[in-house]
Parts: sequence; C-alpha cells; structure tokens
Amino acid sequence: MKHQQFDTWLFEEEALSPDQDRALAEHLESCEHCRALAAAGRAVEGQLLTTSQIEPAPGFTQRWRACLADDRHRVGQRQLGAVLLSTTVGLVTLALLFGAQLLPLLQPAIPAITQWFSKIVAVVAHLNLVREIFSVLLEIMVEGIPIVYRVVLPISLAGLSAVWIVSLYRLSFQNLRREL
Amino acid sequence: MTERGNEREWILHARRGDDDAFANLVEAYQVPVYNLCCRMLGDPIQAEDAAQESFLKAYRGLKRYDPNRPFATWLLSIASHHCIDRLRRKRIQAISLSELLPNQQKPDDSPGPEAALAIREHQQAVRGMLEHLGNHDRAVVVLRYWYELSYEEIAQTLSTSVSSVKSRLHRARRQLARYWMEQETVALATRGKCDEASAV
Ligand SMILES: [Zn+2]
Repeated sequence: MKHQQFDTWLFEEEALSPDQDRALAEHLESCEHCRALAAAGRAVEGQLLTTSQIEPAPGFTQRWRACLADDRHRVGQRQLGAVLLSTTVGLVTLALLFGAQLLPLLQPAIPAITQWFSKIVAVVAHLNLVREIFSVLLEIMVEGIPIVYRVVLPISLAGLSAVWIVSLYRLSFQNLRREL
Repeated sequence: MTERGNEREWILHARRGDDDAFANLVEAYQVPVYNLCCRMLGDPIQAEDAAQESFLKAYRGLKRYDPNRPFATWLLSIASHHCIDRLRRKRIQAISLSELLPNQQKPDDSPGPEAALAIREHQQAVRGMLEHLGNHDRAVVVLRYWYELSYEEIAQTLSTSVSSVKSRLHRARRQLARYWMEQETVALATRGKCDEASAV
C-alpha cells in the first residue's frame, strides 16, 4: 500500500479497525517518512494543547461600554436620516398626487389667469415708463437750476410744508375747543 | 448564587435592555472571545475590534439566543462568524505575534527572560501553523484545541455538519504535521550550514 493511505489513517478522526491499526503499525516500522509525519503530528498536538489563551488589554468592558454608546449614537443618526428622507419622499409624492388631482379643476380658469397675468405685466411696464419720464425730467431740471436755488428751493418747500401742517393742526384744535 | 445562576440572571436582565447586566457577561467572557479573535485574525488590534463588535452583535441579537444552548458557545459562534467574514473581506495577513505577548501572561506568573523567550517561541510556532490553514479549518482547530468543544458543538458553532467538522479537522491536522516537518527540515539544514561554517 502507498504512503497516502497511511498518511490519511494517521490523522483519522474516526477510530481505525483492528486490521487497519495493525497495517499502520507495520508500515510505520518500515517507513521513515510516515514515522516522521506521525511524530510531527504529535508535536503539533502538543503545541496546540499547551498554548494558553491570550487576554485582552485591561479595561475591555469599559471600552465595550464606549463602543455601545457610539453604536447607539450612530443608529440614532441613521434613524433620523431615514425619517427625514421618508418624510421628504412622502411630501413630494403627496404634492405630485395633489397637483395631478388639481390640474383638471384648474383647466377652465387657465385663460382668465393668463389674462390677469398679462394685465399685471402691462401695469408694471407702464409704471416703468412713468419712472423713466420722471427721471429724465428731474435730470433736465437739476442741470437747468443754479446751485443756490437747488439748496434754497427744498428748504423753503420744507418750511412752507411745516407752516401748512401747523396751521391745519391749530384750525382743527380750535374747532374742537369751540365745540366743547 | 452559582456562576451559572448569575449568568442566567444577567441574560434575563440584559434581554430587557439592562446594559450593566450585559457588561457582566462581557467581563465574564472577554478572554475566550478575545482569544478566539486573536487566533483567527493574528493581529491584536483587529482582534480587539472584532471582539468588541462580536459583543455588540450578541447584545443586539440576545432575543434570538436559545437559553437551552450554552451561552459561551453561542458567543463563540458569533465571534467565529464575525472573524471569518472579516478575513473573507480583508484577507488579513497575520502580523507578528510579538505584539500579543505583553497581554499574554497573567500578572501573577511573570516569567524570567528564558521562560519569556520560550513562551514567545512557542506562540510564534503556533501562529505560524495557524496562518497556513484556511479560514474555516483554522476556526475548527481553534475551537477544538482552545475550547475543547465536541464535534457536535463545533458544528453548531460554525453552522455546519459534524462530518464537515471531522473532515476539516483531519485535513488541518495533516497539513499542520506536514508544515511542522518542513520547518524541522529547514531548521536542520540551517543548523548544518552553521556547523560547517564554524568548523571552517
Ligand atoms: Zn509511509
């Protein structure tokens, strides 16, 4: 019989039959290679059986508590993200569905809305035109008026307005007193 | 209360979300879980990480634990699967075991320099051997030799059949014996060369 068969029997997990046992013993007596392999197997077994367990660095449980806290924080963040995402998706979906439902109802009103919109645009255009006319007029006036009048005119205008407001106030106050 | 009774009590409380109760279980099983991770991954930093994650997984999955099964083998099962997954993902090359040695000895058995050297050589030899095995074969050897589990328990721990455990163990032992023989041949050849050099 070849080495390979004995090589297999040497490391067999199941018990060998008496015949197999005898054949193996006979082979080991005559074969140096298989004898060396059997000795190596015993040495390995000895090494594995006499090696102690490796201990973690002190404070393993404290480090585990820190890991647990980190893990909970991570899970919380992930859950918050998931809630935000699902709410956004839900809102967008609802808005789309609502819009789709509303569109047929709005259809008859579309010409009126368009008309209103063009009116608003026209008004804005008019206002712009008026503003431009005024700014041109102001420029001409400013260029034409000498610097002294440019100071005197606003001051006298302000003074006149003040006199006007005061007299209005007095008139109404006197009327009130007469009534009393 | 007995240790077993304590354990049952801790598991019961931990299942209701009592962190302190599970911390007691971590304290009680840190060495076997860490050792398994170290033997599987060959790197103390990776082993610490894997052991911590295994305990987190166990705490999260505690509701799935069957109280009729030993808690230790259930934990070792989680740690084994976790390490095999890690090795598959990263194909970690085991690094020098000399980094493991500071944590290896208990404080009360501080050996002298010669004994420390012997332990170092012994551990290096074991690490070298385990490195030569496939992930699953290594797990079977570790569970068999460091935890003395039966074939049935190993099969349950690794979610496999008893026949698969036996064939893996058979293959691993044969592989380890061949590796040992090769190492001895190399050592003899090196010694021979040294002797020749010193004779000249
Ligand atoms: Zn032979």
